[in-house]
Amino acid sequence: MTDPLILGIETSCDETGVGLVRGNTLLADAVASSVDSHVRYGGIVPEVAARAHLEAMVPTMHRALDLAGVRLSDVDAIAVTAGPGLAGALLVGTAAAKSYALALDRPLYGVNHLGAHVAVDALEHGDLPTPLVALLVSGGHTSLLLVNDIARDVRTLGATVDDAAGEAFDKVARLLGLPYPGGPVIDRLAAGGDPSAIAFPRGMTGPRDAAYDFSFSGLKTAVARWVEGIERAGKRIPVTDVAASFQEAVADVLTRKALQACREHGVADLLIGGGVAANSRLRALAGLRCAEAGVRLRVPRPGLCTDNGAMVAALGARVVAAGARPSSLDFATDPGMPVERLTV
Amino acid sequence: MAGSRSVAANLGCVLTLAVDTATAGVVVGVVAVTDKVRVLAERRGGGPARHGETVAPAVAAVLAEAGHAPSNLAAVVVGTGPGPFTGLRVGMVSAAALAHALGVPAYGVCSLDAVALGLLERTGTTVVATDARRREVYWAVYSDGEQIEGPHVGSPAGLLDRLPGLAADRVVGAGAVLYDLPGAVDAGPTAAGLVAAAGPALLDRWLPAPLRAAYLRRPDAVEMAARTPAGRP
Ligand SMILES: [Zn+2]
Repeated sequence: MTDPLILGIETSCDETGVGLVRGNTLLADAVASSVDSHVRYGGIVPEVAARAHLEAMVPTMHRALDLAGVRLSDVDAIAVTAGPGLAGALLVGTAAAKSYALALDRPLYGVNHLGAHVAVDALEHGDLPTPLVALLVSGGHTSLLLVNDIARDVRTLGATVDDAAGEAFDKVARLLGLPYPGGPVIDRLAAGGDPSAIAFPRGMTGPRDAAYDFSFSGLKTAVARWVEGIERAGKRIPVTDVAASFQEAVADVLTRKALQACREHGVADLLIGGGVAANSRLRALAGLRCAEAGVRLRVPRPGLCTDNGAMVAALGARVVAAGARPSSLDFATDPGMPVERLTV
Repeated sequence: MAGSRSVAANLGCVLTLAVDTATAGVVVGVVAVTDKVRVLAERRGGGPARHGETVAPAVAAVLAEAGHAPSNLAAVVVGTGPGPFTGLRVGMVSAAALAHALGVPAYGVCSLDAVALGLLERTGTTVVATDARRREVYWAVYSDGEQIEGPHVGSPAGLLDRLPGLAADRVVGAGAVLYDLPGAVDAGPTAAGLVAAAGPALLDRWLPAPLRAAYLRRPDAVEMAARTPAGRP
């Protein structure tokens, strides 16, 4: 018996994503990004993102169906991000998904975006091992999760108390006069710098701090103060060293806490997902520390780490396989949806 | 309403779904369009910020009440604003997705037209003003049901100043009522008004123009101030 064909729709932030998945097989992953429209604002503008979703929704759907070589009538179930995310953006995707489900008379599943970031790895590396520790890092989230069953049981171990990791990259890039988004440009510049040149603080790592929570606003402030000091002294800012040292501080704290979680919970598998998982230093340091600790590391390829529809379809496939009840057509989006709530 | 006219004319009945979410409420109806417009089922209401929860169940409900499956629909008409609520997009994307899934055309119409053409009495001059929030109204002027000015967004005082010159026979809409314009009567978009606003496109099966939301305002966002790049003294 073949697995059902799952259509996934993602509009929680600035990517309009439509994916088609059968079991662990990725059939199509079409993404339309509005990131270029946000560059001149130096960050994501919710109204701009929502407008772009409306324009891109149906064209992206056409593209996904073409890529997979299937028709809408072949779809067996529809999954859509119900939260967390930007309220106006979530509304566009969920309204579209409801209409497709209604017109095609197929079951609809409103699912959790964070859970989808974890589930997507099955498309690349096969069934997820359980239990699993997952570190999700992007411009919108930074959380450490304990995954017992991706369709039913995910718990938050910790999360950022202020900025998301990707947001810290954007803010530091901005104060260095670098373009938005900051992640790729800092990664590139850091390659030519000395990561030990400046000792930036490691936030939330004191003995009395919550073991699995993160804080990046102090780090950003420390970078700003350091840069101001150099500017006041009339000296040239060593941009590559600042980038490398900042990136090292972020990667150090993220991997340190993730491995501590694996150790304390007796978990042998770590997954890193979200847009910041594309960062080369984070990947390298995680690889090193996992090898030392005897932990297996799974990181989906960068295209699957950033927001997309395939990840939503991947979680939809797990939820359908687990026999979950479909969502009703009147479900509300949940911009602050906790990861413990995997479906609505 | 833009679009090119197809060669083949259809003399049958076009079962049409009408949707509008440009105002605080939701309007959804199933309409049989022949040379006459017959509303088979209609739902109006719901509060602001509930469009996302309301539209799909309302579509299911009007179809059930009209005794039709979604696959019986031959066209979709949707109000494309102007509308201040984030819900404007809910109606538009719902209409676009339904039309795609059913393989039928989706026609966009001005939501103010759907108010003007939903009125029983439309001879003479009609001013439609809806609530644009932020102490503004969206407004347009109609002569015998034809839009002759607008749509605009502006202050109620600005529209009030224009009214004597327009010599309107009626001033309608939630915006007109909210700001107490003289003679204001409440009225909103209706399924019949939406279908009427689509005009001959439905029966003559015009190729639909792409749906474009009429926001009339730019997004509120401040562009990043140019900053001196670091790395230079
Ligand atoms: Zn994400």
